[in-house]
Amino acid sequence: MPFNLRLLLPIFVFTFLLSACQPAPKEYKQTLLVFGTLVNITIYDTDASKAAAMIKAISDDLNFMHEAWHPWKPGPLGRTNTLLAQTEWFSANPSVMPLITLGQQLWHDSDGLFNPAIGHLLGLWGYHQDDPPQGPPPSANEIKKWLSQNPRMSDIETKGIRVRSSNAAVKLDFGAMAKGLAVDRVIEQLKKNGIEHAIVNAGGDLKAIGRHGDRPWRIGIRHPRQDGSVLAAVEVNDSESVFTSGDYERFYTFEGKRYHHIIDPRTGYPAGQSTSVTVIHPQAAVADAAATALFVAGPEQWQDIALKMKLQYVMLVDKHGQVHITPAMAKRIDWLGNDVQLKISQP
Amino acid sequence: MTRADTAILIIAICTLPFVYRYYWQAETSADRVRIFSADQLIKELDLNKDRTVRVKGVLGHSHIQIKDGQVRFTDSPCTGKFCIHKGWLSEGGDFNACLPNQISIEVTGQQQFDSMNF
Repeated sequence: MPFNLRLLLPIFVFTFLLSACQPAPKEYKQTLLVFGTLVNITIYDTDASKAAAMIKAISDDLNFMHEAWHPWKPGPLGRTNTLLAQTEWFSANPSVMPLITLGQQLWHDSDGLFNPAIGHLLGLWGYHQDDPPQGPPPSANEIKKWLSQNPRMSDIETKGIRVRSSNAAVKLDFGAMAKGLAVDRVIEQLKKNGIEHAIVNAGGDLKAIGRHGDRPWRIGIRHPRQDGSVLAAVEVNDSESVFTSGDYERFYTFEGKRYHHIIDPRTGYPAGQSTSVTVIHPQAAVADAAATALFVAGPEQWQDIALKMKLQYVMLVDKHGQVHITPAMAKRIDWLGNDVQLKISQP
Repeated sequence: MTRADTAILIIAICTLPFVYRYYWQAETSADRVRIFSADQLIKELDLNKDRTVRVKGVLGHSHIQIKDGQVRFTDSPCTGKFCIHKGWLSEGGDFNACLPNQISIEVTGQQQFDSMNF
């Protein structure tokens, strides 16, 4: 074989083989400071210019939802709260109606442990202000007075966009559901625009569509008590969301005592038996509200609430570090070699 | 074959690996920290090179420490200090932000996870 052919042949063969391959799909990632949190969007196997345009549209939409659903600033929900206190019929802005109707359903399904009507109580604890609370916590009398008013989602009546509360103490705060609903909407927007593989992570809670190439999306669940370490990993199927509520997310310390932001509507005080609850569900709004409701329910009652909310995938870490988990969730979790005290039980 | 032909062939062979990497391999940058101001990437640093950086945000400077393959906020001009409380990040896909100062950090490269839940 002539010298030049000996050299050219392998090059030709190599080039031919390469041409048979598909170029590796690119991951497009963008981080946004929107919706009062950090939103990470990962889009897989989509043209970069299309992904960038989508992310711009998503950012605008999230900003709109953040303003519309803000519980105490002027805006559609802020106005709704002002008018609910007057206990007369009024026309609410249509943008808040999905929150109210879904909020009522989830309040009912969770036996009232997810209660978006507790805005005044959250205000007493200092969570209705721009600056993080420093304390002191509300007095026992203030809590007692609020409990006697007993604001619930069933106090609200709706007829189309006409709304009325029979209880002046109702103040809506959808902080435990709005992020989920926003993530659901973002995912819908991506799908409608032909994006098939993506993850939207809003402040640590996420929903995924499609896959990462030839494998499912793989998610790390952070340890509630060990900085920077991961408790477990889970593979997420198409259109599944993973939401966690934890006592480490927002809290303040006053006179040596720590007060976190997940308030038990039955007692008026921060729920004290859980450190984190993770829920996997097709609807991010349901996963969001359920994680809060089960956190409040704690290790003794979570199964009842999970059953009522028809949840299949739940993991609760209690204050002693024991992990309470449904059999379906246990099958999906990779403990990454962590030594975990497991209590598997069917709701 | 002339000398020029040989030179062209050598150049072509040497270029092939780079062409292959550019067109056929997915983008990976091993163990990096990306720092954003608002939504703009302002720095990308090696997670395995210890250092402290000062980044200007809307309220003032946030201090970010990289040590032993981990990264964290050590100071920021916010009132809540949630960014500091969150502590170290080391897993690819993990992120943290000082929302009032609009500074965020993200760990990328050789990721064990596509995203982190917390």
